[in-house]
Amino acid sequence: MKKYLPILLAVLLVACSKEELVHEERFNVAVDGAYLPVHLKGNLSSGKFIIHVSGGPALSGIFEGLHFKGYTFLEEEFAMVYYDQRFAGNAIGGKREELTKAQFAKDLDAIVRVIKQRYHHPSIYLVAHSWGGAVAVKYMLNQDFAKNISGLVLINTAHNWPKAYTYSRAYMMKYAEEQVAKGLETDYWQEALEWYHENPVHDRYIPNFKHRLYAEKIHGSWFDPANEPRPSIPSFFFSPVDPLLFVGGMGKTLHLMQDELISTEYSSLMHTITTPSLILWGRHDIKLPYQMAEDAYQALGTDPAQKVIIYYEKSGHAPMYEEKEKLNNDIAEFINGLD
Amino acid sequence: MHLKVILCILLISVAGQASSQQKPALQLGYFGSFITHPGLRSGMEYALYSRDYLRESGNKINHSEVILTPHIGGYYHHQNHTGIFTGFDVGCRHTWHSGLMFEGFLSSDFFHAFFYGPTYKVNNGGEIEKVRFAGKSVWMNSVSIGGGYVLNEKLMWFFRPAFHLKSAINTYHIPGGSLTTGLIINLP
Repeated sequence: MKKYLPILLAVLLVACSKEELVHEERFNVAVDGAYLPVHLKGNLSSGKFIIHVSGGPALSGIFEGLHFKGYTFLEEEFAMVYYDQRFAGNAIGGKREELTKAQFAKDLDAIVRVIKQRYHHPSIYLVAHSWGGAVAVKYMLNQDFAKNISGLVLINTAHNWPKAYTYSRAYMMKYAEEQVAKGLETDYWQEALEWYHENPVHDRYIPNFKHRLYAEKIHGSWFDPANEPRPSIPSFFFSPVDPLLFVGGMGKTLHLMQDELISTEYSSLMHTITTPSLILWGRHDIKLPYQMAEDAYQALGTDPAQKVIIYYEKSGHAPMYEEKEKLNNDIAEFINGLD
Repeated sequence: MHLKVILCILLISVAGQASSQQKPALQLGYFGSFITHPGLRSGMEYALYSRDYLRESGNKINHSEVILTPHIGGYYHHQNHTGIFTGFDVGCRHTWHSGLMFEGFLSSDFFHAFFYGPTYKVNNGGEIEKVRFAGKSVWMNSVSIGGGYVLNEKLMWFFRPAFHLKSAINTYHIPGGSLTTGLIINLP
């Protein structure tokens, strides 16, 4: 028996070492009448906390993190922080008039402060995706907030919606013209062309926003639609997230926040942000096209030596699902490179 | 809000009236919010109206009743919240001579969720402080249709899927579902 003891210990050590690093904790942050659930997962003793500012508006950051699992490689090395924005996911409370980027930035600041004090002042990084980019950039434009952040990662962000629409519209018009020329679904794409001619800018809420429908018809968010993460049945029945609360409010919140989303135009203000930044972009995103990566790069006031763009050639709007491992590695390399 | 309180008082007085006329039954069961979030639900059934139907073929009796059930319950949603609720069911139950039972209820509850995990807020000095007993109270209205079987003179098994609307969470009416299953015990 004795001769097997070292082998047994070695096996136990290997089996436990990785698992022990990945911990989960949950707390809530009360801010201006809302309770925002915050779910931490990963290496909480790393001293490096990555806050995922989720897209939407109205997606559940916690549901994304726990069930779509876009950042599991990062969880092995860092502490990932998933949270639900107000009126989204399982966040409860607040008023409709508070659905502004300024309020969302204030909410994020409260979460940053709680993490700072609860976990002994770790380094904090923001990883913002899509609409989350509008929130994160708004947050970083406040110098008092920005000083708490060691690094900013923007993934296919909506930091300038009107400009993104001009690129997106141009792409869709070209596509529609090609379809008409080929004689494919001519009536549909002719109607689309007419709609785009009538709507050269997107600076106001347009009911039945057809651009979204046209883009989705050609799977404009995905390089390969098969890569789209879908929640499994157990994830509904055994999730820490209440799926009916999440789904029940999502459509309404999205509708309420349209004006807030399309009014986002931060490119002209981002020169005040000097934090080291990583800009990650799925090349095949039609709604927030790849040209916006260069726009973010040029707009940021960060020293060129401390800002980088990486394009993902096999991704659309969500490279954390389509090229997950590469994206996780790129973020890890960026964060470790800041030491 | 005032209307609900008045309604509650009215129902309590009706239940009291009913209890003086007929013996109540105890209802006890598993309450699964969204089926899988485990909890318990208990209530006292008072028959506001009941009638036996004798079948033409002989001595077999079908039974119908209108029931009022003040109840209390709670459940635990892992890493999300602990929910407690109290309110009334009003509905009908029909029991066939074979022992099979069918029922339908409308319910109105006061619901409170205690959030999972500690809750913090940032005070005016920029320091974080704990918020005790953080949670949210809402009204929960439900509709349920269930069935069951008479096991013996004292016991009946029942199951009752229910659809809930919680109002208002984030100014919305949020849907929910549950399954209750357990025993109805006729008190001596």
